[in-house]
Amino acid sequence: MPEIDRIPGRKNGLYVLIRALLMLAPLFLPWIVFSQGKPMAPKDISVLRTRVKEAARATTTLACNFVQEKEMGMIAEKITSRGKFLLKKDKKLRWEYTEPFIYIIVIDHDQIAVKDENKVSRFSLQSNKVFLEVNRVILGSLQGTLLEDERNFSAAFYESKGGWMTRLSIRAPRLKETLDWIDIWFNRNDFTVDRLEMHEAGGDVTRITFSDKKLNQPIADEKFVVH
Amino acid sequence: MRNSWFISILPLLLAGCVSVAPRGLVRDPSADFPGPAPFANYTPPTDSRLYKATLEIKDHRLTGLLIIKYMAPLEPGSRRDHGSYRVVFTSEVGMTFFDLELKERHTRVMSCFPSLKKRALLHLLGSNFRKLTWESAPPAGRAYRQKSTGNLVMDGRRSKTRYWYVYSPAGDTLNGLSARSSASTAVKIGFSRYDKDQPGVITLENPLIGMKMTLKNLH
Repeated sequence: MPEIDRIPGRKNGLYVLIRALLMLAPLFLPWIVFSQGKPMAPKDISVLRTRVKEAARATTTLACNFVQEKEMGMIAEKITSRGKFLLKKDKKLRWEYTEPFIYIIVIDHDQIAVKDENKVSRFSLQSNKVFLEVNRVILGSLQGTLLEDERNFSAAFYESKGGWMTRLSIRAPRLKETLDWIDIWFNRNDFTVDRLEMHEAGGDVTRITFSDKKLNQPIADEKFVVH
Repeated sequence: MRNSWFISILPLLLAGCVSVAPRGLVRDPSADFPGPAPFANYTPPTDSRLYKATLEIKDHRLTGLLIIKYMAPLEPGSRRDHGSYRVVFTSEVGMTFFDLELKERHTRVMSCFPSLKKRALLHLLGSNFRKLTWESAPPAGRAYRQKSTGNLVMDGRRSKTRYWYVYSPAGDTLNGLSARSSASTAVKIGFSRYDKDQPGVITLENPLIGMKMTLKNLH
């Protein structure tokens, strides 16, 4: 039978490795701090929270392209997929993968439609735990609501040349089983999300980078219907 | 009393009904040697292979990407360590459903989505993927013909598992593989839509629990 525990029988090796990394950590500290930026001052955090909230409130529609990279560190593999993303107030989302496969997720309030090749499945958001979490994380990041969700996430804020980054550590026990933390990079000019990184408990990272963002352009309701 | 006796043997009767063996076989000793040498044949990856995957268990359906990657041993040429295969199934949006490490003799669950953390299910998935990795090569066996199709079927045994490899009548294409060591791990694997020498589509079916996995090669 498969073993559920992580790396049994390697406790000594793992212990030595962790100890060595902890001893070397001070050497890498400047690099770690540089990569995520410097911590923000409390008054700047308050300004950022307000501006993100205002930007989300002012955004009625968002259309953009995205590149998603799934990095599996342990096996040194990266899966890259691409597609288009549409968001319309209130609670309408179309997440369309065009490469290397065709896959469309449409969320309209509490209903989900998934088109996988030619098969369309419809179900309620509440009935599917995977999509419930995905919707909460992705939509919540883009709309800034995750920053306010102190019950499930604790936020730390950093600033760098590229923009502002928020690291959301997971508090919710169920979500913590799959995700360690989420990094969200906000654009310096319009306070929209440029990049989203989901760091999984198993060490894998999913990085979604948004580009060619078009704000408040008309998007027909038909885009949120899947046939 | 008679009822309780019947109930106690019911699981055995049900297990006996789970058959993955090809039906209607007629012995064909002429095909025993040298056996089929298919040019369209499934072989496990020497590096990595990416599939679009669908996992269906009764009313539940998960879709995503599945990667099978061969991890070379830390000491190349080692007699004891022949490396491992990693099988990682993720959702399209990136969350990992399961990550299995298949060593030559045992399977380890590296990570798993909470709702899939069921010992029997993970054991079955590990057993299935062994047929696509460490246990994909046919053991020596006897040749049969399937009456209805004319397909060549090689029947062999490795350890406690019995295998049936189903080839095209000419023996040049591997169409399927069935394996059974117990009713719970009985699996029927189909290979189709060959592109060059590898199947474009692989289906894995476990009849006892009604699980079906479809893998479409993306490379």
